[in-house]
Amino acid sequence: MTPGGIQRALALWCPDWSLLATRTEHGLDPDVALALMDKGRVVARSAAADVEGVTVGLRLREAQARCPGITLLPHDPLRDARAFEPVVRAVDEVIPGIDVRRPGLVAVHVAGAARYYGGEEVAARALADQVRGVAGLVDVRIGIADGIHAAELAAQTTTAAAPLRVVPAGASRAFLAAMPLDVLADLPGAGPELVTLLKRLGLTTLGDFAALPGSSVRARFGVPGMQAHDLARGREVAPVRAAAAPSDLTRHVVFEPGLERIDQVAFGCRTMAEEFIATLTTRQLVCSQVLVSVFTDDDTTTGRAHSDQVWTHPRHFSSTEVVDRIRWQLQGAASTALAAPTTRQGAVIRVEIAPLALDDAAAHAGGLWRDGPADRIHHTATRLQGRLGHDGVLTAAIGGGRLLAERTQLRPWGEAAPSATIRKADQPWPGSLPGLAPTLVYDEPVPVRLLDEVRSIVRIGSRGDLSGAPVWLDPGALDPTGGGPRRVTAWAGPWPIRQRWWDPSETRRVDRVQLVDDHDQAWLLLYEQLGTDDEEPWSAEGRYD
Amino acid sequence: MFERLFEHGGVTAALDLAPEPGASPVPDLAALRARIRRLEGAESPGDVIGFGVPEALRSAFPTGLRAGATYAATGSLTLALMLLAEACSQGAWSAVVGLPGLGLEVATRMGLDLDRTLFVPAPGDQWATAVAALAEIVPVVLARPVRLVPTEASRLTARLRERGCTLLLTEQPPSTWPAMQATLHASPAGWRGLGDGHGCLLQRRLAIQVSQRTGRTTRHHLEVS
Repeated sequence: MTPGGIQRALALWCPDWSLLATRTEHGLDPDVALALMDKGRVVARSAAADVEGVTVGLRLREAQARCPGITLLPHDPLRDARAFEPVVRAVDEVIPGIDVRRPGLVAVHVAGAARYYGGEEVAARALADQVRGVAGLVDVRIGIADGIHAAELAAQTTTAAAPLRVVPAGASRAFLAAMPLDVLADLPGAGPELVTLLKRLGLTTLGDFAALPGSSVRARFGVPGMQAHDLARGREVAPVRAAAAPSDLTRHVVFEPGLERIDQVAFGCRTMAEEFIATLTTRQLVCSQVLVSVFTDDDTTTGRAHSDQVWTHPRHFSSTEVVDRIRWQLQGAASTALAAPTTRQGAVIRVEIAPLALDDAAAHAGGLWRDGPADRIHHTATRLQGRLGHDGVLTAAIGGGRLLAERTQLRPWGEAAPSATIRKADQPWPGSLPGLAPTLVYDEPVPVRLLDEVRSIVRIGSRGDLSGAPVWLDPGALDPTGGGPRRVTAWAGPWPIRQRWWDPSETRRVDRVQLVDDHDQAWLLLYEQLGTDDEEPWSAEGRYD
Repeated sequence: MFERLFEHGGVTAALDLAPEPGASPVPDLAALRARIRRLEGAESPGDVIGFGVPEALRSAFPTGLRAGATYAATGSLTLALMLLAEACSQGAWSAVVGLPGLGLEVATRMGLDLDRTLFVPAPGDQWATAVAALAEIVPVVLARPVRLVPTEASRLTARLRERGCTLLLTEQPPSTWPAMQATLHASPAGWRGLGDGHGCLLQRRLAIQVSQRTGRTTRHHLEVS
């Protein structure tokens, strides 16, 4: 404790943490010119990009112009925070009670550690040794001073060659006074505007600013200015809030040797899933979204997950439901491997589950007396899903679109319903079907033949003209009795549907015809000519059963 | 009431509104008396004790479709969908088993609430399990029948009767099934709105022959638009 009532603080700073986290995740070389972009501007750049003249705040085009070979990636604060967690845990092992100021910067009270290690510098060196190497970290800077702000500034004045700076007790004010005003620019609340203003008033260092009377600063700059003034005078604005390090809720199971059968893997994952849910329960948490990663033995060299999938739950997962999701994911991977035989399906060697969405368990507690009807429906539907597979039980919605199969939107039970805006159901769809809708819709149009009087295929020209009036309909596979062509008694069309004519790869020209045959059966047919001599241009879209 | 207070999520929001099958929002005295008579097993002819049916079929089913019974609506999916939509018009949940490619658009136009409908498009060899599980939670199930062992079929109908779940079949089931409560057979009786190269389908007529379990057979005409 120093005379001002400010505790000694240690700040551990990892320079360019966002860049390091991005490099680790994307497997980039440290020498690569890399810049992170946010809202079209550079927010961080690597040393190689700096040499080429890429600066923070530069626009995307300008950065590319200055350094043509630059790698531009979006800045992701969540990735930074995620990658920083191992570092936080490493710090917590040496000095407990940490305060993560932002990804890349941790503050701790140093008094206890200094007593234990016999000096602040010794404690700092022990900390640096512990942290270095965690998550690919090489450059660790530590500053110790009175108060977190001074410690942070002390850490930022260090160099890679001399990564430790200790400002002696009571000397922080003098240390701060010599700093240029620009250090206030990063402060929340103050910002660059305040710095520019102060400079125009003729102030150059924090000492000049601190010398101004507090009442005048408050009158001129308000609360943010007052906070900056307090910091410049060496007072503590936001003290270290000691907290426990976040624990790792991710669980994994390793199979040695690898397992090939899905039920074996599912059985092997059961204990892990139970422990995963039990850990959450002891922390009064429930999980409604998990990430399941399955690693197989054919990709151990790359170290990448063989299959990653996010599973959502309308309530929260129980351990059996987690195992179900793992099984479904393996089944899905097995079916795609069958479809594409070139990708070999290896034995599963590792399964990992990570919670993505956590919630307070109290908000999900069951009723005191009984479950309501909603719970009964949910439990039964989920149980049925466990037997029939994830897409065994579906719920449906009508979406936007012109073709009937497009308008039908089915999704597995428990997955969030897309909103009406995303479904585009409320928008006008020129070309959608008027009048009665068919009771049977074929997912994949079934080929049929529509013939004119002389039994040749009716064709539709580019201007929507029919080559002849439809007289005969051969339902082909759709006629269970195989009765051959039926006479058309009434028909209408063709109604053109022109989709995405502006995109050559996705454009689609379809014409629709409605007709009734002499069996009193009504049909909805689609005409789509894919080649000049397409022998089967007609298909059934739906049937009025 | 309070244990529901903190629930959230798109699925659950709609669920609590579902009344018990067959109950009207404001039960009047006559309906309550009818329910008492139904519980006593002594229905009088005028009571609607099950699910409502379309107006044109009211004379064949004056008391509605019986809860827990099995009906076959053959010949036309339109008829089966109309019966399902009418049965769920009071806000009940429903389920559709083994009917992939069912026209959802026509179902919604008939009044089926898709938010309260579960679809099991391909139950495979678990057909009976799926129907029995759904009978626990929904009052009406629409299904395409499959071949069942006689014991399995009678066990299923017993389960349905016990749970009060009405099963609508889209086809005449194989002979291994117990007899239907009634069989409705629809045959097409003309279309309106479509001409020779112009117009579009606006209305269809169905001729429906209802064969009751008692042997009584009646004929009806249904117009769908």
